[in-house]
Amino acid sequence: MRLKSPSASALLMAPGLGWLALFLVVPCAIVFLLAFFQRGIYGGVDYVLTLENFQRALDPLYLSILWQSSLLAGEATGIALLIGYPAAYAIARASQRWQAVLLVLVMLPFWSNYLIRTYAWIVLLNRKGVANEALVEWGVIAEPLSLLYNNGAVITGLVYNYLPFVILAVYASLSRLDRSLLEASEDLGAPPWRSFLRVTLPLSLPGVAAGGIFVFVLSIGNFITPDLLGGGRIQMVGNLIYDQFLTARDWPFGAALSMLLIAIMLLLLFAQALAVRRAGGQRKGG
Amino acid sequence: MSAVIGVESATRRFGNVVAVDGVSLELAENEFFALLGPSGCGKTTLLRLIAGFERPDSGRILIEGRDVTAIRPRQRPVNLMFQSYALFPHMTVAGNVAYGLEMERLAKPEITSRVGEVLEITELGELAKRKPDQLSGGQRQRVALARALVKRPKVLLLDEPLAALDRQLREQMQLELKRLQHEVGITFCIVTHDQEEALVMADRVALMQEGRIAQLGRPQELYEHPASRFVAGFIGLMNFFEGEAVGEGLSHPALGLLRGRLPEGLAAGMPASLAVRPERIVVGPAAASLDNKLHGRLLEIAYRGGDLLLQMQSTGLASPLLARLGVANVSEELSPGQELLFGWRSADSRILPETD
Amino acid sequence: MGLRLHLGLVYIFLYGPILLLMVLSLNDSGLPTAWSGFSLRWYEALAENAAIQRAALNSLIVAGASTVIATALGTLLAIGVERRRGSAALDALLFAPMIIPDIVLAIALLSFYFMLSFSLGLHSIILSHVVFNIAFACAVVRARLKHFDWAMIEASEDLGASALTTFFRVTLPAILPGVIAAALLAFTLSIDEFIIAFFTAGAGLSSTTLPMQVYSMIRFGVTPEINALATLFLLTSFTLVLFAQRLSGRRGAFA
Repeated sequence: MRLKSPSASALLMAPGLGWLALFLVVPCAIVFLLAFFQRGIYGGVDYVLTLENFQRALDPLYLSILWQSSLLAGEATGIALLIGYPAAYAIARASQRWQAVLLVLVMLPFWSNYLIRTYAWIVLLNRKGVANEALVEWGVIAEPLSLLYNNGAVITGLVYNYLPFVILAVYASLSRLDRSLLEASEDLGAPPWRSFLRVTLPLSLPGVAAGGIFVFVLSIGNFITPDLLGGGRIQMVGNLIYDQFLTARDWPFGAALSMLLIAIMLLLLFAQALAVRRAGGQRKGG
Repeated sequence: MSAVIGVESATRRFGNVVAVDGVSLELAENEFFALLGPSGCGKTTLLRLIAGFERPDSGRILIEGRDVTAIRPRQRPVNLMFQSYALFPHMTVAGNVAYGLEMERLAKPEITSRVGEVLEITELGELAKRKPDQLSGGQRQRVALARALVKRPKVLLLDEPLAALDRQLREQMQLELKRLQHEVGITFCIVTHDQEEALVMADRVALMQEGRIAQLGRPQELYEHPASRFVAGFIGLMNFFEGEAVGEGLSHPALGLLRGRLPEGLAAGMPASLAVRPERIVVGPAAASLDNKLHGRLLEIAYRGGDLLLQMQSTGLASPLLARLGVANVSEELSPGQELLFGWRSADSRILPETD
Repeated sequence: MGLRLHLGLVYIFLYGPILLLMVLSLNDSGLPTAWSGFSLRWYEALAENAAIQRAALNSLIVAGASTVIATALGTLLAIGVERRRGSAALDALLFAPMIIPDIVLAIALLSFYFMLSFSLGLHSIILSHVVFNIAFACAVVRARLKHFDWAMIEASEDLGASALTTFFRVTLPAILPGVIAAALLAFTLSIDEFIIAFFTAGAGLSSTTLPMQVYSMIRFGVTPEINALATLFLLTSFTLVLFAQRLSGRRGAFA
């Protein structure tokens, strides 16, 4: 597969890489730089170097928002993993033919419009929504509950949107598991639950970690869900950044927040890569 | 001979295919047994029936006289060494080996000592703390062995244990496994498609064909006295002459009468094959006194270190004849194109029914 | 088994809300409280809504243009990358647009355009959408290329074909299903995308995309027209993704 001209490869990759360089790398670099400048009086940018944006970001006010976001994202991640792992396990145990179908069905909602998926929950949960109407109808409650615009609604929305992704990530890990490892475990005397705890679970952890980290990062940086389902009361880092750029017009601060977000993401990815290396990999057979 | 494993008329089907067809056999204590055969003959399925990973559609599996047909693998006192080794990648060598003992809920000190013991026997002591991906193929194979042996099963089942090793290592390990079996003193049952391997290692061999046992016996029996055309062709190299059985032997369409004794059940007029091993072919003037001889031309000589393999053609032969001569026994010069006399004693050949 | 039940519940959880939307969109009264009969009036209302029509057209233009560009560049990129020994840095770059939170990408692009005093409008959205679409298109085509027999290219050249001919007569036909799958996926992603479009569209109705329109409608409250629009969105996505799935083979880059 090592074909003769590396230059041909370079030529093929050039336009695509060029686009990415221009429209991805450069803009990200700009954001990075922006974080070190000051906000201008009228909302523009004063090219005066400063670290105050980062200082502000680490201010107790914003730190607590970051902390709250992390909690919410963490809860959403945890719930998604709890629901998603058994689902992925069930799919991995199905027959080959069924697995393909089940996976597609899981992923379909994931590829549809994020706004719409979140909106569906508004319809479900708002005061005149389906859930309340049903509960009143069946006499369970007298007055409609305020199900929307709170932490629970946001978490539900996040779990709903990212569950397919978690299922996919865990499934990818589980499906790579060598069946003969489980047979060996059984042959050596382990009952099914012990085989699960000692062989399946540890070897599927990379998938769990990958899925979890992505969901966490996507949740923290989420804007739509807390905005629509939180009604402006719940603030995630994503909302903060949005506000800085559109309302407060403090771009440098928004840039600093973005850098913080990326830093968290890179940190988690790095930690995960380390953990995977430590665990010794998942080679088949062995 | 007390049977440690008994298989009684076991049958296992997969859809339309009958993988194991009413097979019965017994494995004795402290013997090295081989299930041999071409791919698809059912040997691996039979092994898995004994291990418990397959259930027979009919028939029984007995271990030390006890009917275990309905019992799960983890409760059978036998252990399987997998072809791919199936080592747990996230555990060390010691961890892998200890796993089975942990499942038996033995006390820590006992586990440690037994693991140490087995690692000694399999020469893995130095590697105890390594992980599988840090080991060579041969080392991994030994870990798989150790992991199964440490549980002291009544029978150790090995699924193509040497298939993944390279040639040199394989021949070394053949003798290693034999030594191990003697030292540990339990029955080994291996599955292999390599007839040479089976002949070298096993005390007894069952050659399987299409779900049934074609012949069961000591390696020597299968080699010297094959029961059928299939067995004769599968084990070692063999020369075949095809024709019709007659009173004194085989009537070959081109070569005429080839003398030999007809086995029971083969009557004159039936299609038959005469089989003779390459090492039983005498080449040169010495062949003149034999009851079966032919003139032919030497096509090729293959020098194999210890012996020579000669390929000879004669008018009327469907395919070239193979003769094997020890290098020490060759007195004169041989070269391709040479006209030679070759032959064999009728007692050194067997006549077999054409179809099995 | 308990596991299967759990899986079933998960599917109900995933599809329940969206099926609900679909059902409501056909409800004559438009309210979740009462079913007053099957009716398509909300779809008719949609069709007559000029703002929605304009937004839909804008979305189609953006999706179409960004798909064409991204698929072309992404395919070439995929071929170039797969031809050589992989490098972790390259993979990271190609992976980046897919994992960077979209809000960060959105503000980065906005800042970029601002720095260049670049005018904002449909064109800036197109340029922005190409960024993440290249990454997805590349990933899909790369997955297809894993099963590609590279010796075919050498054989083609051995038989006298030029590099260009080889590309069009050997390479492209072999990966075409993957390329089409990539295009369908890119189109879907672009049609659905909100945040980046929102930030890079600039002011003015002429550059409002459909998701942006939906967002402003939602902020005003739940209305039956949104249900109808939502249903159309969902059906479009599902159809396109299912097609893409069939084309990219058993297990494409995204299933």
